[in-house]
Order: sequence, then structure tokens, then C-alpha cells
Amino acid sequence: MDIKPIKVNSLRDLPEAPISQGVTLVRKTGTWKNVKPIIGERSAPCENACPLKIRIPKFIDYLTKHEQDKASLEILRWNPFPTITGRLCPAKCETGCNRNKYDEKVSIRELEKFLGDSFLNRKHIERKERKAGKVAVLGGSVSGMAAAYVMLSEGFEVHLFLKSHETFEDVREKIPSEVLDAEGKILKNAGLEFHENARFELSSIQKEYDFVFVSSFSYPTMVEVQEPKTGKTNYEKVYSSIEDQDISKTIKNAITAAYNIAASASGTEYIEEKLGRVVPFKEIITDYFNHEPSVKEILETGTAIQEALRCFSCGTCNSCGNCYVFCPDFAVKWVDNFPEFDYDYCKGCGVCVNECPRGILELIPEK
Amino acid sequence: MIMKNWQIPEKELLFSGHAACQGCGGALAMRLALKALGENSVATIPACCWTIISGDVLYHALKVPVFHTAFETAAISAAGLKAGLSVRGLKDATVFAWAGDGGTFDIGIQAISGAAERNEDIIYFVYDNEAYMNTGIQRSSATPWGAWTTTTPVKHPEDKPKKNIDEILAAHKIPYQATVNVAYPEDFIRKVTKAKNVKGFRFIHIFAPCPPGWKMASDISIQVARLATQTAIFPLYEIENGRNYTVSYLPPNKLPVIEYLKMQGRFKHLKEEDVEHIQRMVDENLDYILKKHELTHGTLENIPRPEFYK
Amino acid sequence: MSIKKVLTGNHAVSYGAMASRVQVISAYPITPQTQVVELLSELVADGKLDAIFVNVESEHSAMSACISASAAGARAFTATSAQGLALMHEMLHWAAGARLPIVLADINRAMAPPWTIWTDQNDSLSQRDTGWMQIYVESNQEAFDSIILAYKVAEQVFLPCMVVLDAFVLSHTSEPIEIHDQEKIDEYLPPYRPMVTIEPGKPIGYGALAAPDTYMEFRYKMQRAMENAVEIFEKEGKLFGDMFGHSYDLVEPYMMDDAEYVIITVGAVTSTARVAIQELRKKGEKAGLLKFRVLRPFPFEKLRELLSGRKKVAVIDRNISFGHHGIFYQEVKSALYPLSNRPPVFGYIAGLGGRDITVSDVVDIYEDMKKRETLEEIIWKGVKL
Repeated sequence: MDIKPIKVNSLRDLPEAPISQGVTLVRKTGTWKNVKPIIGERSAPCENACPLKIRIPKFIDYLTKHEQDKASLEILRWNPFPTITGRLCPAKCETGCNRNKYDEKVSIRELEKFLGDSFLNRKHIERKERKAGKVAVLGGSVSGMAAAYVMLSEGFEVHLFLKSHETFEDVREKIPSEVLDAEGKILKNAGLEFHENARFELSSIQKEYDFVFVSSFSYPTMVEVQEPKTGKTNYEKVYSSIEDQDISKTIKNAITAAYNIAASASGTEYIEEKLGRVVPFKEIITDYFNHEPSVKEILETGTAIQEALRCFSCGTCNSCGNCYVFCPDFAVKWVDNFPEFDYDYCKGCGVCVNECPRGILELIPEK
Repeated sequence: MIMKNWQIPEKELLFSGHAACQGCGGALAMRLALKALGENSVATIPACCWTIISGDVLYHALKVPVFHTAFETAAISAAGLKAGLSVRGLKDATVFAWAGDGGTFDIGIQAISGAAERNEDIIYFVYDNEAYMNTGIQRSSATPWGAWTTTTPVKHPEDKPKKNIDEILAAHKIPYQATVNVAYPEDFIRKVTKAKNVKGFRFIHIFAPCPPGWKMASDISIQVARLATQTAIFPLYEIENGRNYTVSYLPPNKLPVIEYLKMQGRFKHLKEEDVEHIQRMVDENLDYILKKHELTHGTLENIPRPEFYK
Repeated sequence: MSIKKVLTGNHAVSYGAMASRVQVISAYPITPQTQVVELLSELVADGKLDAIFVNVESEHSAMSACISASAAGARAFTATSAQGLALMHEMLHWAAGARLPIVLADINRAMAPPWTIWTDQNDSLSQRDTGWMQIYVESNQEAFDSIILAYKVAEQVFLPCMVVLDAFVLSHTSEPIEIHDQEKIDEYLPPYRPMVTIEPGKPIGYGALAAPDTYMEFRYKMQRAMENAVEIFEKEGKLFGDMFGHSYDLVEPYMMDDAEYVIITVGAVTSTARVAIQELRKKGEKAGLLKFRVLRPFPFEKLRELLSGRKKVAVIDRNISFGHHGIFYQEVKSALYPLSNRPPVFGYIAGLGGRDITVSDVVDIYEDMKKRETLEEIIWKGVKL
């Protein structure tokens, strides 16, 4: 589109009749604004309540867009074992869910379980291509397995030392064994070396391995966690994590320690991605939602999507399209199914901000 | 193109860089209407905000041609375009007039009545922002009772109810007419698409919020428009052949009019009894439309009532 | 093959429009114009004229319909009178400003109040500055021919043209008319080729806002088009004569070769004046007549050429600009101003509201002019003082 301004220097530059020669794209009406919309850093109460900080609206968004595997993978970024948390965690996410204040919560844990279970036969650990070092994981409880999972993905050579032959010993009785066996197999396929019925001294392990992670469930007295935030113990390069009644906190502590090991191995510091400011219920425009009862049990994709569609997606863009549809200036473009602002023409009216049902957009002063 | 809330035609027939004010309902209305009308269309625009919005003698904001015309001539100008195109063999082009409420309710009503009575094959759009906004917010016969305008100042606000243009058109027994609201884009596009496929005179009454004229912040433009329908101040319905009324939507919980009025500076001066008076008028009007719907359909049960109506 | 018909001025106009193969007609009834569109609507309904007839609710709409139909690329026609033309006023500007070659027949009728239906020129002259070309015709044949000629010129300069004829004197009076061979008319007047059209697929804004930095240029272009129209009127008028046997000019002299005293007339009164001039010539007077046919564009050169060196000139105005003089008088006088040997010009107001102007009235005017000295006085002919 040729949007060069028309210069009228003489009669010849104008047609005989009063007829336009160009299009208004020449007029950069974006210069009118003194505020402009941006996509703000916001988050949902659910993901804040979750100890693992699973990006819940994000995985739900994938699900509603029929990208079920992406939804499962999104959970796995934050939580190696949705099959376990989906069954055992206290679902603080659901307690925090803004939808409680409208009709009833979204069955987030059910969705997590469904996405964990249904992905199990396609799940594998994507390993970073690097020689991160050699680590020993002492104990096959959930925390040990979670730490092993993360360190495998971080590129370590991981050796798991088991008291007996059993993994996930802390949850064996609560989770179907085929699920746990499948999870164990996934770790094995990723290169986890199993040392069953292992008898050892920590000091000798320390000599052989660059780092050690001790499951404090399996070996409650072996080490003492001195820095709960990093998992550092009273032994150098030996990490551990605190066990919690809330299984997701247990996992969180273990994987945090594992990430700290990885950071330490590469001489960096582990910094957790922070969530944005929470979107409270009063920022949700409920006009864009219908009252609908939640689906209590999710066993197949259809009901999963049905339930996922109930999600307000607080603070996370789920491509609802309001900002695009209501922009009188067509200054919100729809690029790969997400909004993009065209500040050349955005007049800063704020309609997009006000009509975003989930509090994502904000107006900031235009410099 | 995935948009979770909306299924609307992708194609944009309006360029950015047009001259509408921030949050202009009339500008959005055109954007939505063009999506339904498509490129095989020509427009005629009389004096109104859109005279300015559409660009100037050098630059044009639409991807369809616009013939600018005098204030009172929108309907006949469209009919003339239709006649001219027809004799040239371009019979299938959609010809539409696009006028404001002043050009429709007031100065243009003679030409509209003429064109409607002759059943000219055009679509007439009125984007109703309830006053002469382009000239600086003077009252029109579309200005609602109680509203402030520069010619109905706060001490003497508008003391006549809004003219019922839809009933005037219905009396002409035109094949299709509908009310639409920019806050309900799918309903809007559905009705314009329907209108496009009907032959004869079609009339689309658009509720188009005007932030400067209504003395409100531009960002609540759509919210206020939505409230107009949620309070039944602007009910959405269709009339076929002046006889068959179909209410498109009823909010499951009709909100009191104050929810709409309190958002706008132009109603700031209203007293409690004024609001009650407006509530009565709104209730009466809705009742009338519902009775017409019932007369047509034998029931009110078939009216959609979701919370989220598109 | 051409045929002869006995037609009223109104029907001559209708046939002129049909011969011009107009495509869209939009009109509203008003006496004395009504018969023009009555016949046209019948011709359309009978399928004798392939056009769309838009039967509107006002003259304002009639002109609006013609404007947009013309913008859509159709040859458009309307006719009206007096109040109807006045109601069109706004849209007359629109037609000209949009450069649309619409042709309108105005059956001159005086303006109310008091109510009247009879002829004078104040209705059309009130529209002098709208950017329309104006042809004032003398006879029904000329009315028929001028419709065709009007389109021929208008579609070259892209300005609308008004063909003006007197109420009743022409509109309701029958005369034999030669309806020229349609094939030849088609040859003379080919189909309308618009400069630009409003049609799908051509996204232009037509007539949108022009800021002070562009508006004036569009007005300059209109004026230039008007100026060019003088030559085109001359050329096309001659060509018309070559093809159909009667040529037309912007001003037409009668017995002017050696004339010392000249009377200028407009419209049907010209025929009356011809008889008066013949009578005066018989008496040995060196009397001449100048028929003023095209007011816009204004025929400066021709007028100066024809009037330079004459002893005196009288202009008979069937109109008045209140507080000034007759309008043709003003125009003629101002056109002659640059001439060193300009004759004195005297202005006579006559025949307002359909009052007859007789042969003896014209003779009286001639005699009066000859003896008159004062130039600025407005002279009323026939008013009951």
C-alpha cells in the first residue's frame, strides 16, 4: 500500500473533480494519544496459589484451542508429575479461583490429572544438549524422582540410589501403580541410572559425583537443609529439600533444589520466573461469561474443553478477541491469534483496556 | 483466525487513520458493517460525523467508494446510485446510505419516507449517537428525554422523548429493519448480512456511543453501549414487513436504567424522579416490543437470554 | 429518418430527453413543468425509453437522485419550475461541484408569493451562480434541440446544464417540431463517458472535505471548465447545424449587420421582438435584435463584437434583481465596460409573472431607448403605475 503523502503544489496535483487519490493510512492518528495500551504483567489467583506456580490459564488456553499436548507440556514445564499432584495436591488453585465468586470454581485439578494421564504414553524428558556433570540422587521418593527429572532435563548424568527397588515409595499406596511405573519408565528412558538396594556412605558418593541430592523422605537424617530456598545442606554440593504435607510443595522444594544444582554447575544463579500482579475478581468483566456448572470428573477431551472454556483466564490472554473486535481504529491487529498494537494509529481511547474481560491490558502515559 | 469470543468476517474494509474521536461508536459501527457488506458495495454519506471521519478530498478511509451528499439526501442519494448502477448493469452491488441521527430522525426523514415507501433497493444505516455531534452536541429528535446537550442545557434538559424512528419505518412496511448495537458485534453482523440478502428498503438502526457528546471517558464507550441493551434502553430486535417483530435478545437480568445513566455526564443532573420517569418509559417501550414479538411468535420463550450475548 | 410532430414545449423537452437516451429520470410534479415528466414516465413505462424513472417525493430529492445516478455513471435528467427549482438550489451546487453533466429543463415560472404559475426568469436566474450552464430557448424546436446539445456540451466540460423555456408561452403551446433521425442523434451524442464513477471495486471518496489548501483549486477548475465551454458551445452548435440543419450559438444576431439600435431579448419574447424589428425596419429604422441564448458560460467576446460601436442598446429583462436592475441588463452592461466605444445600455423590466410582452411593447421600448439619456434609471414597461 502506497501511503506517501500527496503534495499539492499546483492544479495538476488535483483531479478535475473532488475525488480522493490516497488512503487515510497517511494520517498517523496515533499522534493524538497521550496514553497507550500495553499488555501488562498480570496473573491469576489460581497460579499464585499453586506452590508449583503452574501457569494454569496458559495450559487451559491451549486446551480450549484444541492443543491438548501443548497443554500437557505447559504443565510439565512447572510440574514433572501432574499425574501425582492431579490426584493428591490440595488444589489451592481451585480455592483461589475467581470463578468461585461467579458460580463455581474451574475443576483445575481434574484438568491437570486428565492432561497428566492422557499424555503419559507420549511423555518423554527433553534433555538439554550439554555435559552438565554427574549427580547422585539418594532416595526414590517423589522429591527424589522430581529432582532426578529436572536434572535429567538439565543435561546431567543422573544416578538414582534406591534403598530397595521401589520408586515413589511415599505415594505408592495412593496412586495406581501403573501410573507410577510409567513415570519411572519415562525417567529410565531419559537415561536415569538405577542403583537398587544400594548401600553407601555419603562421603564416598560425594567423591564420585559432582553433586548429590538427598531425598529427605527416604533419608530423613542424612543431611540438614540449611537454605530452604536453594536446598543447600550442611554438606558442600549436597542438596536436599523439605518434605511437606502438600505434595506439590514437596515437589516444588525438590525441583528448586535441582534447578539450584544446575545453576551452580554452570556458575550461575537460579532465578525463578515471577508472576505478575494478581487480577482480582472485580476486574473480571462477567458480561462475557455465562453461568455454567463445573464438570466434576474429566475423563475425555470433550469434557476437558468444556470445563476449560469456563476459565476466566485471569491475567492471561486467551485470544478472546475483544480488543481486536472493539477497536474503532483497527489499531489492534490480530497476529498469530494474539493482539498486537499498532501505535501508529492507536488513539489511546482505552476501549480495549476496558473491554478486556481478564484485566490484562493497561493504559500507560505516552511519552 | 482464532478468536474465542467472536466469529466475525476477517476482512477489514476500513483503513486506520480515519478521523473519528477516541472510542467512537460510529467508527466501530462502520468497521463492523463493512465486514458484513463486503467489497461489492457503495456508500453514500450525508453531512454527519462520518463526513469527516471518512477522510478528506485527498485521502479516503474506506475500501468501498463513498459518494458524499447533502444533509437531507442520504436515502435518495442511495436510491440514485442504485438506479445509476442498475442501468449500467451493476445490479448486484449493495448500495447503502450511512447517516447520523440528525440526518435521519430530523432533516433526512422526508427522503427516507419517500425511499421507504417506494421500497428502493438500498440499505439505510443510521448510526444514532442521539444528538448533532459533528456540529458540537445539539439536540436532535433522537436525543433522549432528560439528556443534556448544548441546546438543552442542564437547567432545561431535553423534555421530549426520543422519536421512535423504528416505528415510523415499520409503518412503511419495509421488508426488513433491525436495531443493532456496537457492543453486540455478532448480532450486528448477522443482521447486516441478513439485510444485505433482502431486496427492497432495509433500515438498520445502530446504537453508537459518543464519548465527547455523552460526557464520558472514551474507554467506557462499549461498556455504556452494552448497558443500553442490558437496561432495555436500546432493545435489539428485527421487524419484517412492518409486521413481524422478533426480539433478538433479552438480558436474563434486566438492569435498572440508572446503571446506564450514571455512567454519562449528560444525565448527571437527573433527579430520582427523573430516573423513575425514564424507567417507566423504557419499561413501556420494552413491553410494547415484547407484545409485538408475542403477537408474531405466539410466545416469548424463543427469545435468547444468555448472559453473554454476542 | 426524421419525423415531424406537433408538440407543446413540454413534450418537446420530453422527446429531447428521450432522443438523448437519458438513463435515469427523477422528477416531481409542478405546474407548468408536469407534462415533461408525465410523458417521460409514460415513455419509460411503455418501454419506449430504456431508463429508470425515480418517482420522488420532492424536487430536492429529484436533483439528488440525478446527482448520485450521474455519479454512478448514468445520463440523468430532470425538469422543474420555480419553487421546485428553488428547492433544488442546494443540490444544484452539489451537481456542479461534483462536476456531473446533468441536464435539467426549467420551465420558467415566477416565484411566490403571491402564488403564480406564469412565466418569468427569476427562478432560473436565482440559480445563476450555482455553476450550471444555462440555455434560454425561443421555440419548442429549440427546446428539443437544446436538450441534446446540452448533454453534448455538458459531457465534455463536466458541468451540468439547464435548458430554460417560458411557462405556457412555450410549455403549453404547440408547434410543429422536427424530431431528428435517432441514428444521427446517436452519432452526434454518443453514450455518456463519465470522468469518474462511483462503483464497486473503486474505493474513492467523492466530494469529501477540502481544506483551505485545496478548495480553491477545485473552484478554479470549474471556472476554467466554464470558460472552455464557450468554444465548445460554438463548435457543437455549428456541428448541430451541419447535421440537423439548424445551428445554435451563444448569442444570435437578427438584422444586426447595420443596426444602430439594438434590442436584447431572452427566451420566447425573442420571437415577438423579431416581428417588432421587422416592423421598425419597414419604417426605416436601423433596428437590430440580439437573442441572448446562453447566459452561462457568458459569451463575452461575441457580445462585445456584436455590440461594439452601436448607438444604443436596450435589454428586456423578464426578471429583476431587487435593489438593482434586470439581470441580463447588469450582465450585458458590465461585459461592455472594457470597450472604448461601448454603447449606452438601457434596462427594461417587462412581463413579470406572465404579463404579455407584445410587439407594440417592444416597439415602445425601442422608441423609448432612442430618446432616453439617463443610464442608471430602472425602466418598468407595462407596470400599472
